[in-house]
Amino acid sequence: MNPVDRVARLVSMAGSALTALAVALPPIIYFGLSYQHAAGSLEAEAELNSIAITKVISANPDLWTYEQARLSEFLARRPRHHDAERRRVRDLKGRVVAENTDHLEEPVVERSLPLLDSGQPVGRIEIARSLRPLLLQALLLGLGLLPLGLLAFITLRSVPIGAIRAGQQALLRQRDAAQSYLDVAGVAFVRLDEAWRITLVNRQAEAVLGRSAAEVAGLGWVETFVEPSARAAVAEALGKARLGEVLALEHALLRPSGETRTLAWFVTQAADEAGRPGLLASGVDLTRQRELEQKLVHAQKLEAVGRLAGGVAHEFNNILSVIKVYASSLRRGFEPGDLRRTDVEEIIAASDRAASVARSLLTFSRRQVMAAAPVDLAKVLRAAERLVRPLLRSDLRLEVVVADEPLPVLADPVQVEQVILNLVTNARDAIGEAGLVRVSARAEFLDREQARAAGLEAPGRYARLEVVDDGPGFDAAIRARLFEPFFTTKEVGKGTGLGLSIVYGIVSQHRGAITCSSEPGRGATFTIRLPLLDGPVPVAAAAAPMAALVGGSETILLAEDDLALRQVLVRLLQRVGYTVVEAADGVEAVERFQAGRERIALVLLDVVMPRLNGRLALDQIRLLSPLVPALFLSGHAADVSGQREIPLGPEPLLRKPVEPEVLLQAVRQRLDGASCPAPVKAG
Amino acid sequence: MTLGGGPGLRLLLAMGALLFGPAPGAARELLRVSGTGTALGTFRQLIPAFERVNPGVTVKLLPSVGSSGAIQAVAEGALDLGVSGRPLAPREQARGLVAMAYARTPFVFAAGPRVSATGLEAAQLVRIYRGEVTTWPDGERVRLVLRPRTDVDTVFIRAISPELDAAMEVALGREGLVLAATNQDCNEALARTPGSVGPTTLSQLLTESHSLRPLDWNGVTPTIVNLTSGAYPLGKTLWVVSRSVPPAAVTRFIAFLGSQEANRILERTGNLPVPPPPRP
Ligand SMILES: Nc1ncnc2c1ncn2[C@@H]1O[C@H](COP(=O)(O)OP(=O)(O)O)[C@@H](O)[C@H]1O
Ligand SMILES: [Mg+2]
Repeated sequence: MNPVDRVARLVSMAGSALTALAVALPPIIYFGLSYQHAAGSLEAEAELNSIAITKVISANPDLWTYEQARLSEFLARRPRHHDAERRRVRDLKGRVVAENTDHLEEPVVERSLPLLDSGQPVGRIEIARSLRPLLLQALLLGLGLLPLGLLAFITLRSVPIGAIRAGQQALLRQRDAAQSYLDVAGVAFVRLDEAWRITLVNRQAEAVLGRSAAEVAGLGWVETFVEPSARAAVAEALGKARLGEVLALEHALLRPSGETRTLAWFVTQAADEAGRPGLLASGVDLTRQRELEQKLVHAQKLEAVGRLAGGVAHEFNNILSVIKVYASSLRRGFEPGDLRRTDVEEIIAASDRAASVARSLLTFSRRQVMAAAPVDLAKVLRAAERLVRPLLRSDLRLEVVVADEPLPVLADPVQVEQVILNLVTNARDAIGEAGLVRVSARAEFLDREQARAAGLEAPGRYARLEVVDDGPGFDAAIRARLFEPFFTTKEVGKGTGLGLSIVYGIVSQHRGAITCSSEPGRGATFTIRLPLLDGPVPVAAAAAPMAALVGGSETILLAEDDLALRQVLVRLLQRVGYTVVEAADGVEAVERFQAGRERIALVLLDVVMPRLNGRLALDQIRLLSPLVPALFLSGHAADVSGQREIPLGPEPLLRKPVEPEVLLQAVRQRLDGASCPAPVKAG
Repeated sequence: MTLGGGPGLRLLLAMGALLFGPAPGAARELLRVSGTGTALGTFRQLIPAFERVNPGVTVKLLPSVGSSGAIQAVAEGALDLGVSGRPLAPREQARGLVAMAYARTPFVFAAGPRVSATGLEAAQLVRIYRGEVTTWPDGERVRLVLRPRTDVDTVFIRAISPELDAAMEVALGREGLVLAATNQDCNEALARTPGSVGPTTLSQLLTESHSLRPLDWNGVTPTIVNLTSGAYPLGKTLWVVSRSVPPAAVTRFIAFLGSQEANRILERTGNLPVPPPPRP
């Protein structure tokens, strides 16, 4: 039964009892007192009469029973407002000697006293009164009290019950309020009974569990929702929580769809409304946070690796340049057909391969100088298609799906081609037998949430480049390391482990992001997003043709901080007739230019130098001589202060290690006034 | 006024009593007598006279029990001879009792101490009973002494006139009046109470030593002469009651009541003897 109804019944019973008492007790007490009073006054009257009659008896002991006139007169003496009475005098035989009788209704109360003649009983006097008027009065009193009693009953009953009902209402409202607090808390609340079965969930918990409250009621928490490997630990924790601790615990939660989510709970012991012990848990869905954290950790790891790799590659690059310059010079000293010339050519080839690895690492670490310009990604993709097709076997199908709309992005097209090439190559390698590779590009808008999930900083319009294959895919363990340099699953000699590292570096340097998804046996998807430009794409500049080794007699200012490389370059330039003014950093370069600006026809500047980088040095030189032609030379795009890219402007850039022919040709072209040649492609 | 059982029987009984009555020296016969208080004073003088002529009989005069009590006591054998201020009711006759009127005495309204009035008019008495007159002419308060409703005297007064009958009804309903149960009580109450007035008889006045003044009734003084002449209209008849077959001593006493001596005593005590019924 409902506790309120129970209380109501108790109150009703108590009220009825009290009411009955209130109605019945006064008449009973009244009757009792009146009865006593009546009996007392009867006794007094009997006493008075017996005194008078005893006088008659003693005056006429023989004939007192015939003294009716006198006796009757005594008996007739009544108080003015007397009650109806029956008064009788009897002799010893019980005969009525005299009486004075009103009509008496039953029941009656009677008192009698012996009549004495000098101590000997000779008769009795009896006085009786009807109890009926008393009973009637008591009844009337009771009837008069009845409305009062009813009033009391109603008050006794309805007032407390009203109060109780109001209290219950208030409790229900509080419960509703508490429920709404729970629902709005943004935290999942779950209450478990002693056997860890769900007894209560809030709205948030319904969302987290992926089922309604009705569906989850009674389900065992551990076996239904905890990921199997975590069950033992969770059971142990819940056991501790039962001892009264507030425990924090985190576990993978199974959802009906099969996916898992990461939930962090605070669990403590708590009794339910009925006082049954159980547990109360508040949980937060940390899935996305954990994913982001993982991504961040991953990105930081790649960053660290990249820094290391970039540093090493930079050093190697300079060394390789030296090797290559001396080897080239050596080669020219041998006649064709000379075996030593062949050896030197092997040295050159090896240093080329090493330079290529170094370049890859520089790309991954984003130290590669990028010649970014507004380009249409769709066009770049179509161009890349021609580049990629020859690589594929006939049993591999390549699908390229490009949106009709232009996809303007700020990119280095050569690098984007590199990305596509690497991804398609990987797909080809993964597929093995027959299969399908699909490359697609389209525009898409990402909101903040989607952008974050894709690893991008800002929401907005992006070009989406996707490479999908139907190969074996990869598992989570491989996926975690894909972008690390030198990570490969291929046999020694076949894979370098640098392909995806380059892709990652290029995409990052383009302020884009790459994600991948795969499940073993289900193929792999690599998705790249690059920020879309608002404006249209200008016509791309044409690539400059290659030229023969050329020299001149002009004076050239060479600024290079690496002494070995500077010496190599000085010797190369002097050999073909140039006069060289050397500088070890940007500040020195400006000073030397100032000293010999009439003679200096061209400045050749390393980009990354101590004290003052090449770009800023050129700016100061241009203040002295605005039209002096310049060339940049660079191994990477970051200077010592940690600045990632140095905007170079329209000046041509030569990438280290630089081929002597390329360097000399660029120098000649600049001296001859060729305007802004296209950036020189690496190896 | 006839003796039950017929005169022949009565004679026979009287003769038998004479012939077979207890001889002198034998156990004395006891005659128990009581009755209305009016007559007791008279009987106190009659009895010694009777005992003188009837040596074998001892008459015991018991305290007054009133007319009705005496009648009942006779019927039950508690008395041998009763004296009544009223005749027998048919119910009492049916119990085998006989009654004989032996005297009449003036019914008197008497006044107690401090009353200067000497007479009463009937109309005045009506107003006194009704409570309209509450003082005597001299200013003394009138203190009315009543007798019980069923008493012979109350019945007598009511029978005097319809006005008095109605006035008596009013008086009996009035509060605070003195009510005297017996004739003796009444006389005592009258004598005790200043300004009192109430019923009694000349006989009782003469035989009881109370200082009460009989009041003239409508200007006529209550005397045997005035009663005899009819000038005084209020006369109360007195009766003796016995069982129809009485003890011999009773018969003898009744006979004595008709004697010269008895008549003298009766007249002396304010009674007008009633001659015995003529013998058939
Ligand atoms: N499309 C793909 N399908 C399955 N595995 C791939 C795919 N692309 C890359 N991988 C995995 O990533 C590893 C690293 O790739 P990558 O950096 O290009 O180096 P490499 O190709 O030299 O092994 C590969 O060894 C391969 O295990
Ligand atoms: Mg590869």
